[in-house]
Amino acid sequence: MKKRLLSTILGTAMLASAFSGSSMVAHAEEPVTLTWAVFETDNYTAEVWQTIIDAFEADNPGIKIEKVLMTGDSRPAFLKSMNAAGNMPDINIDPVDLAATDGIYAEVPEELLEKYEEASIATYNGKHTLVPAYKALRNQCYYHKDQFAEAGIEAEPTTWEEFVDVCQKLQDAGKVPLMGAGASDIWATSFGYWTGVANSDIMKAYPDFNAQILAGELKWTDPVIVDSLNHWQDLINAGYYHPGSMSFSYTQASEEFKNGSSAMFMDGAWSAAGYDAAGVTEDDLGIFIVPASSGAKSYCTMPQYWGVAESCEHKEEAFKFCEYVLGGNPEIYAYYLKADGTYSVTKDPVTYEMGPIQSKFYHNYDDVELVTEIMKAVGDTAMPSGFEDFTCKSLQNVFTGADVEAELATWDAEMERLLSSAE
Amino acid sequence: MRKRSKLFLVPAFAVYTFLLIIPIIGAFYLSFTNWNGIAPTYKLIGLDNYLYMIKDARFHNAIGVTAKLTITICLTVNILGLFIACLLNKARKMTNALRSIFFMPYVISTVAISFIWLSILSYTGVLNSILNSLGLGSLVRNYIGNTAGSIRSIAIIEIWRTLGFHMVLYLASLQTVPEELYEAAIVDGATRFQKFRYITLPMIVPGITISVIMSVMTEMKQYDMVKVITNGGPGYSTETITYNIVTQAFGNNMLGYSSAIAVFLFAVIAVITVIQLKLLSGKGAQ
Repeated sequence: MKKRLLSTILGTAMLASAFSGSSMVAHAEEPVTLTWAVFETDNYTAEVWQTIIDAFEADNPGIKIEKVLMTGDSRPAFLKSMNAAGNMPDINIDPVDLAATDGIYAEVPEELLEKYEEASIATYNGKHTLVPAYKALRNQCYYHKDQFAEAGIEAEPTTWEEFVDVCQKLQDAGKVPLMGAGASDIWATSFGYWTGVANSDIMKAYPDFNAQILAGELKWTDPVIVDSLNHWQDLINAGYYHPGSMSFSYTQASEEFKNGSSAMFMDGAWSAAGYDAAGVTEDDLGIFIVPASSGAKSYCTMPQYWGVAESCEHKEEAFKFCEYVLGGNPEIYAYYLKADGTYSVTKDPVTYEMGPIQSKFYHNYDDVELVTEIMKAVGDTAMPSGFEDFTCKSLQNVFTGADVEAELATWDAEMERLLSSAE
Repeated sequence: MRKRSKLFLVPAFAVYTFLLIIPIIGAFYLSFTNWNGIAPTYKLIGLDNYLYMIKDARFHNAIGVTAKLTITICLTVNILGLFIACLLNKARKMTNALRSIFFMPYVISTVAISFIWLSILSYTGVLNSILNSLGLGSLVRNYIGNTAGSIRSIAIIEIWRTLGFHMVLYLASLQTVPEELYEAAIVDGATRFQKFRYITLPMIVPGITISVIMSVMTEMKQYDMVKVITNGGPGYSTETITYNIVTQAFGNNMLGYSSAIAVFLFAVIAVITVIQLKLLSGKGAQ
């Protein structure tokens, strides 16, 4: 009897302890896991992303961040595929292409948006679904100072005529004036001229270009655009570009320039940060803004955003992560910006120490007007999805000798098609 | 017993239906919509997508590129494949070793092959470096950086990649031809060409049918090599129909239109295959 009583008491105690244990487990907070779509480049390495994740997780113990690597050459295409498959990552870098479609990204809380510069806030049909991340300066012309000296060039060109003269002097000295890129990197063929020169020419003539062309008030065959691209084709026809340009990927072209295969390369701001990291000095490498034939003195920046998917089950935590990285923790924001040589868009600017090349790149713009980058405009004045890729291919045709005006006529037709299909 | 044996087909048929039949029907349905691939809603737009294909210059260009690649590659790999197979069929001792060597490119990933060839054909790549070092600088060309050269380069690489596969198909067919037929022909005084024309060729018609159909289907669907080597460029010069389908769907957000092109491609391949089967059936030896 005693034994039975004892075993009953013990059994009850064991059951009680088991239940209390399980209730303790049930009450212990499960960490929230968020997926974050990132991409890797020479600058944005796996280490950069991990450093950001580690810092956030250390400060926010209840939230885990899982990296989703965006593979392939098109991040928008990757995200579209993930969205179509129902696997949309919770937080997206480079969400602009999908943001025009209602219901893909969650609306950003107003108190978060208030922390960013007014100009950086994108609006789609009255909604704010993107978190401003940074602005990237686009491109300038990098050049080898020794090759300029050997060709007897003493000063950087300040007009289009001087620029053409520099090209000619380099060619006469037996050097290749300009490096170009192509192969599978279709964006790289026209990137330098389009963002550095043509964009300035167009924005000088039509400051409200995007709204006008989208409303059908302007045509791509406008004489200003034709004239600007004809000047580019003149450089190509004169043989100033490296003969292998179209067979080089962007990385190859960049390496060829670094190795001295050409004297100049119209390249992105990200390279300035890369040169600084490699210890290149101003004694060896110079940078100047390619002067536009129209005399326009402007430059453009590319805004970049993050988005939180509407399908995300923990939006509050996801926006907390966005806020933390994109300004909430100034050290981490500066680390993120410095990695690719980009600039802050917070109302309280976050700065970082720049190397000499990046610093020169930045200060070249001191007295130059900032204008919209036509192809990268976001919100209601954004170009239709797929249009930029189309123009990049068309500009490859121009590079290989197609008639500029005929090519631009196809832009009008394609734009009309894409706009009507998006309606 | 019969009923039970049919039950064994169910799992395979279910997988086939789920992974192939349903997506094909889905693509056919989407081809009549304006779905952008992202939004939860879409409209039925009748034949608009098919009508647009008639006036889409970029799509017409893709048809031209695909046709050029398909005709060039199919003719070359089948003629050359049969020729090499005939040679290997004679080289009894070395047949296995040579067959493996020729077949090797086919088992390597197309993407890996594309990167290898990129490093060979790039302007500062292996081929031009060799030409320069041999003092043949005048022969240096921009193989993938110009409109005519890029499509030629894609064709050459694809021929190199698939030749071994078609050679193996022909070799297998050649090895089914009874030796007695050749012995009888020798007795009758047949020449080498007559033996090939009246014995070999009729006997390997099933092999020819399979090889030609396989090569047509593969080249009509050419995508990965073009994507890696030229990304359809320079400009649109190497854009194939499949490349166009992917661009329209994931670049331009026009999944409805891309589905219409996919249905068109499916129909073209089906028609070509049926025609080939009709033409080649009955040509073989009874």
